[in-house]
Amino acid sequence: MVKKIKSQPKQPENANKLQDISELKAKLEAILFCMPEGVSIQVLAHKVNLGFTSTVKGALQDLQQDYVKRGAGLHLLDNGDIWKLRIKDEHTAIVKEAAEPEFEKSVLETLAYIAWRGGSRQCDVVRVRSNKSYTHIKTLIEKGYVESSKSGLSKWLQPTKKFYEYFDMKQGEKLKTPQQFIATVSELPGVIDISYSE
Amino acid sequence: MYMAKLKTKTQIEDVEDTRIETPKIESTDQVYDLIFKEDDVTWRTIIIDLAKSGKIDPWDVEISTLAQEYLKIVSKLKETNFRLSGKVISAAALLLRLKADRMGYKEFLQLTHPEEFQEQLDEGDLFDFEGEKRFSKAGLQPRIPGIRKRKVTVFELIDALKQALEVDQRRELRLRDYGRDVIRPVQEIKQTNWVERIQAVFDILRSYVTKFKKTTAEFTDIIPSGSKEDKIWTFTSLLHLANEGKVGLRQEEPFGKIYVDINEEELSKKLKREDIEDAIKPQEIIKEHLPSIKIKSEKVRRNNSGKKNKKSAKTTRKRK
Repeated sequence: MVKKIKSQPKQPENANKLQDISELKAKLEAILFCMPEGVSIQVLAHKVNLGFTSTVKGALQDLQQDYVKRGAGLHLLDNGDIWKLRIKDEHTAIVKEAAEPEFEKSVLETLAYIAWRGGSRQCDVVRVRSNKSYTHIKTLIEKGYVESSKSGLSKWLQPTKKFYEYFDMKQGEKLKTPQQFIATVSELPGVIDISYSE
Repeated sequence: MYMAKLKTKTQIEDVEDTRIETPKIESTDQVYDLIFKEDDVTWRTIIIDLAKSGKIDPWDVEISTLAQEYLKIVSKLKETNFRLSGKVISAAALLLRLKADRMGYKEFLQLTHPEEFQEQLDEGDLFDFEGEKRFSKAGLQPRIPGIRKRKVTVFELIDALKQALEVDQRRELRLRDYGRDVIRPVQEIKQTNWVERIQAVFDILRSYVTKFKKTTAEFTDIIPSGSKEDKIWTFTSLLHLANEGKVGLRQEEPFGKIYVDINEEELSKKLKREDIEDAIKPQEIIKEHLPSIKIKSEKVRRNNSGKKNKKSAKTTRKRK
């Protein structure tokens, strides 16, 4: 009689791995939650004591997919090397009061002016926006929303691809004034009346 | 010696891998002992142990007694021990702070600023006010990490543009208004007839010599009055006369008396207008360095005179 040897329920190695990955994801999520300005993969790897950034990147991509599947109010934004946990665009309006905008008011005004001109010389921006705009321009260049190139004695400032993607505008499109914006929207089919509210 | 002692202690800790056990405190005297003994006990150890054991009320530790004990030990010490004094000051400060909080700093504020606490009292029915008070008493601020930043919408960007353009327009208007309506201060250049002034001072000197029969006069004797203007005009005139060799000026010590040496021969001569004009020639040179406003006015005058000449030439042509 052949005795059947019952194979013991095998604790799959994958289960441990999965547990590790879910733990790693939880850790990464916690760090990302605390750092609204975003954090690089290197820093994340360092924080979770992992030498391989590829593992961290994989876990981040998994986490990103989790948010998509769950239909969460947040989404994990992969901005090159920087990852950040952000509120979805469609929910921005409801958290307007609770969350601060990413740009300071004065910096945003300078950016708006450059975008309205579709690129401008630095000296013109400074003339209109005062000397403080030197700092604004520096911040905007650092954040990658504006790029500068030499133009005579001054610099030529231009919105970057990142800017157009961020504000969902066409590449090279100039920012419209409120009046122009109302006029454009009014011409759209189905729009009867529109009023611009601040 | 002390360092060696410390090292040994840490080595033991490494081997045993145990936490440092704080000594248990049975009485207030032990608190003082802990502070004044030269072991590795810090104020943290004291406070933690006090809190843990609960045998001694940390709010009732007598700081004055602590200070007295400290002074006693200091008087006994032959060498300065900064470590001990530092420990005592640190412990005393901490205890004082704890006692101050205990003695009702918040209650004092409630008495002095009741309006600030009124709202809290009103809301007190809705939640655990006492608990909230305890929480705020601990001086902790809730710091819940959250996503504080949000994306900026294109509408906000358009609004920002509106603001930026409005600011620019306001600035332009302000500059334009400034250029048009501003009343700029007019710089007046007072002119004076130097010939007359020098002549007057020269006459004063002449009358002085005839009156007092002295060839040396003090500056204060020849000024018409004590006013600043008179002093300046007289002194400047004297400088011009000295420049022409009519008088001599001397001052024996800085800020001392100014003496005018009068040359009788020169006084007997009549002061010619040409001489005075020669004397004030340097003034003409200074004029060239006057502010641009003066130069401008001269330019304007020249231009105007040029225009006049042209006009007159035209009229003469017409007449012809």
